[in-house]
Amino acid sequence: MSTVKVWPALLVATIFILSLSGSAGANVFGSLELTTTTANPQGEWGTDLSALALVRIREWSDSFRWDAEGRAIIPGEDEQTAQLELSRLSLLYYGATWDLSLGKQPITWGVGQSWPEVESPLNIYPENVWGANLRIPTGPLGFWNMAAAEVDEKTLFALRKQDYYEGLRWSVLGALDSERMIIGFDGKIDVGFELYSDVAVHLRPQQELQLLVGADYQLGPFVAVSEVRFDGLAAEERQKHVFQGLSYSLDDFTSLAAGLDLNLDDRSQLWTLGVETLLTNELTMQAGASFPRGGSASEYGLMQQRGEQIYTLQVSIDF
Amino acid sequence: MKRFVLILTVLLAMGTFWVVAANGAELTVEEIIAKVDENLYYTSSYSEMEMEIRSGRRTMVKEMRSWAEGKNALVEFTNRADQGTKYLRLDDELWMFFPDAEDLVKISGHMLRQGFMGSDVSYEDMLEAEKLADVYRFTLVGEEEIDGRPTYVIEAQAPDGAEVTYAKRKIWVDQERFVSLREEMYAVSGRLLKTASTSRVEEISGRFFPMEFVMEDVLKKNSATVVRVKEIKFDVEIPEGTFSLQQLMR
Repeated sequence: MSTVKVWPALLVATIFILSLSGSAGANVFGSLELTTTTANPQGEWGTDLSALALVRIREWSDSFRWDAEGRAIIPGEDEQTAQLELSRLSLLYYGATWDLSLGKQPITWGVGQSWPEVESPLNIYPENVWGANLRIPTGPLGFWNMAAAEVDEKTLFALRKQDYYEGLRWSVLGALDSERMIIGFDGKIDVGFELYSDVAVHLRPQQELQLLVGADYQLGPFVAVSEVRFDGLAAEERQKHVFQGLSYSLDDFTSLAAGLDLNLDDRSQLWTLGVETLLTNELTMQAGASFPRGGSASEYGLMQQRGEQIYTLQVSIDF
Repeated sequence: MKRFVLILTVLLAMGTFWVVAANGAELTVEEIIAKVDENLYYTSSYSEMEMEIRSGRRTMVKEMRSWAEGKNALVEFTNRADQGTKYLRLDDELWMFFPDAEDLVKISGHMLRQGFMGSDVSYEDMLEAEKLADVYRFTLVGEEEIDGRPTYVIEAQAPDGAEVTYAKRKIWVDQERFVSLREEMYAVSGRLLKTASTSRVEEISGRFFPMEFVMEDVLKKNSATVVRVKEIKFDVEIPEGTFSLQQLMR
């Protein structure tokens, strides 16, 4: 089981129990995902079956919103141990002029669409983190965030301002921990298509620039997304990736998607195809495939050599 | 005596005709639309609704509750799969919030033409808050009967350059209740885009309100969305701060 911070978990759980006295009870929902994966590592094709059970509990009162999420991952044959994870345990308190969220929670910043291949530079809290996030509104559309959360075993403090002006959604932030100092800007605007950008300037431990530019456009049932990420200056591990995504809606319940992640340095590519359909209100089926391509020493060429072509079929049941 | 009865019958018939004329033909098209607007538009409201999205043989059901005041509205989904997902309309802009990821998304531009949660009702449809009389010019083109109810058939044309979702509409207005029983929505090119048919009308707080209607996107095959209003209250007091991103993210 992943590390659970004892005292914050107790605090959140205690407040949840107290809040139940004024509410009708918690809402429990979640999903069960069954995934078959067919791959050919080292040139040998094999099929694996894995399962993920996700349970969410959410409760509202006049003063709080409480969220908990647990996952049970039952891996395929290669791994013997099932994993249990508490992925979320947070309490959002509604103050008169501010809101405070405590516990293990997502703090999602940045304007990128969070494709795994092209990370948004300003998403400085990348996964559900243990911490606190204070939000102070400055009007119907703007607010300050003050956050402190654990990232890489250090506490990362951040101050962020977000607002809207003439259709432009913008934010500025500053963040620091014992080793790093970051300032950043982001913006998103509709100019007939949606154009957005994240810029993160790392001042410490070394100067480094991270830039993401993206565009999102729809024409009829087609939606196209392009993102490019560039890391410059003294970045030790530079990322120059371009992601192109295209999705097509067959009907209200079925969509097709194709993606290309291009490494601009070595020109290697990862192609992905997918289809998703809602079979019933509770049942979703997804099928996907990924194909790495590239030279012998390239990022995706190495995957290709290792035979890491992957086909997946996933069924999700909501409850 | 027979002549007297005959004369009396004629006079009564004429009187009846005159009353009908006073309620119907003597109304101008603007007056008819004004009565429709009186029924449809309100200062504030709270409602609980169900949306059944049909595509082919598959059906998806969404449940929601909403608060509305003027051009502002907050919609919260209450069905399990979408629990906690919210929409906020502020004037002509729309935001979505996904509590699972604490993700706030502004819906703009091309996204507005997409179906709301996959339905035949687009986000643009949801943003419509103006009175018909404030946006369109009207022509009374005839009368027809729908499900046994006499209706006025009215064509509505938006002025050139007007920022509206549909350049032209054709509306069948119930002559007694002044509610749209059927509506056709057209693009600037004249192409039929959507139809809406009202299947249930109720009198609430002195007004007739469509409690169930079916919206069909003509451009999609075998697709329809049924919207059922389970409960609606008009002129409710809505707490200050309800229509804000802070409230959306709670």
